[in-house]
Amino acid sequence: MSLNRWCRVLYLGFIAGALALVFASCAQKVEITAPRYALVYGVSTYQSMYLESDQYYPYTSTPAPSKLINLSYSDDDANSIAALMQGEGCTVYSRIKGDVISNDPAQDSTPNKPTKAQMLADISRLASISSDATVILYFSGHGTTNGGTPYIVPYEGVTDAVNYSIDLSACVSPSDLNGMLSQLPTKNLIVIFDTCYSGGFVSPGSAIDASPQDYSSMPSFSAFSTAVANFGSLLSANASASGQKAPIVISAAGSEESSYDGTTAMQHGVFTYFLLQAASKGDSNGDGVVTTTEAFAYTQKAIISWGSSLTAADYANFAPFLPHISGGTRDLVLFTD
Amino acid sequence: MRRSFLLAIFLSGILAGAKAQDATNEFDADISASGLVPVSWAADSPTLAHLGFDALFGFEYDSPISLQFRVEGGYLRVSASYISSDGELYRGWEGLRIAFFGGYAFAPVPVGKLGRLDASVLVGGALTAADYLDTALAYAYPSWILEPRLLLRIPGHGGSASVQGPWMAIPCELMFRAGAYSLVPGLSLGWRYRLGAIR
Repeated sequence: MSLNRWCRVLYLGFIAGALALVFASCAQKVEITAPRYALVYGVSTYQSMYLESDQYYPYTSTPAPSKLINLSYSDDDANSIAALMQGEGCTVYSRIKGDVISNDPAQDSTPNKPTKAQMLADISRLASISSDATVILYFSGHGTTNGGTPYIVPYEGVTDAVNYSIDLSACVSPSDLNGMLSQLPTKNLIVIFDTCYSGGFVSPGSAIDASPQDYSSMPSFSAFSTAVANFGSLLSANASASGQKAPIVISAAGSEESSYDGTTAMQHGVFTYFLLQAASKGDSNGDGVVTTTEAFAYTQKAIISWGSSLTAADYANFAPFLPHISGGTRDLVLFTD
Repeated sequence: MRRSFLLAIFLSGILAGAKAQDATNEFDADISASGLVPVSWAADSPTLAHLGFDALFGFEYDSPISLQFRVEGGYLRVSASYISSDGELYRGWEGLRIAFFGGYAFAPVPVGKLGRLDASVLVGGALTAADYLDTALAYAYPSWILEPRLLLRIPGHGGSASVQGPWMAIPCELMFRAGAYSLVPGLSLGWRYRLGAIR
């Protein structure tokens, strides 16, 4: 064999070897030994609003405007997520306000309602967990914005049944969330919000999120071309990155768009329906676990695919929306087999 | 300190190249592929290994006074890292990068009919436009590279003036990525073609 041919064979062999190494890395099996905790909240029925015969009214019986109504599946979302995490060995605290016939506060005896104070109390209970533990905070319900600041709306966030006004002090903003989570001794924090406008909780860090905050305004995007087009500013942002450990946040929707209750076939919110699927189908590299990035990627692709199958009639109930994930080099395992 | 050192290499190369106009200067083009074993770490986070590869093309100027200058560009892709026992890992990424090198070529060693073996050491810097795999998150980062290389120059059909041949390098790159660091040793194999010489 001539030297030229020998070298070419060697060259191809090397490339094949490198590829084999990459594929071999996909087969690693992982065992997570650190404790995991899940705080799960779902609000289908809000204070001052009640559900009756599949019609939505405030309990004052004033016909409901379209501004804010109770949700059909947020309690199902939270119940399914809580069951899933419990099945994976997590210690789960779930606070769920489901569909009830009467949500008149005088008649409501649901304990530990998913309020802001309850969330804070639950997080305080975890103040002495070990520093290698992972805490997953999940919320499904309404979200709102005020002056560009996003909020998730816990149970008592709706205070005026007639005018559907929201008490922002009873809602959770990004700064509230950071204040709550800063009590925890671990840096391994995952936050998942299935609410409208939840993209406002997602910080890209020193990166740029190429996916639009309003998907209907820009249905195609490319991270690569965004990186090239913003090269200078991204380099400067990278230079000033502190490396501080921020929670990994996945939002159901962008900061300028709604997320939706799913169809009757789904029996969940659209985002959570596909997120639950990601637990069993999202392991893209076959290592036996689903990371937050894998779960996000599966869910985002599934929602895009689902959205593209909608008919014109469906768009009376749904508008395109897109999940988002926070930036940074770190990732965490979300689901284990 | 390190910047000053690199700057000195570049400036001395430019001056030496200008002074040696009457000597033979050589230009080469090459392609290469590398297997990479990046190791990432950050404050309060574990040190974890990834696997990856790159595919690059480069142009190189070899001055008659043993200084080399190189520019290369290409694509790299790194998988997500292995996972620590507390469930932490580093995301995978892919990127397009451009790198500039200066270096020193040692005296060639004849290897019989095969031609000659050139050894050199290059140091340089790279800039990479990247995204985290499976996300729409775009970012960019700089890095430093140290690259010892071996080049086998095989005489071509046109005689000694037409040389091509394989080369091997052991690049080691230090990436500064959003508060984390990645040390990326690798093994590169490439094929180099002589574009021409200027007298």
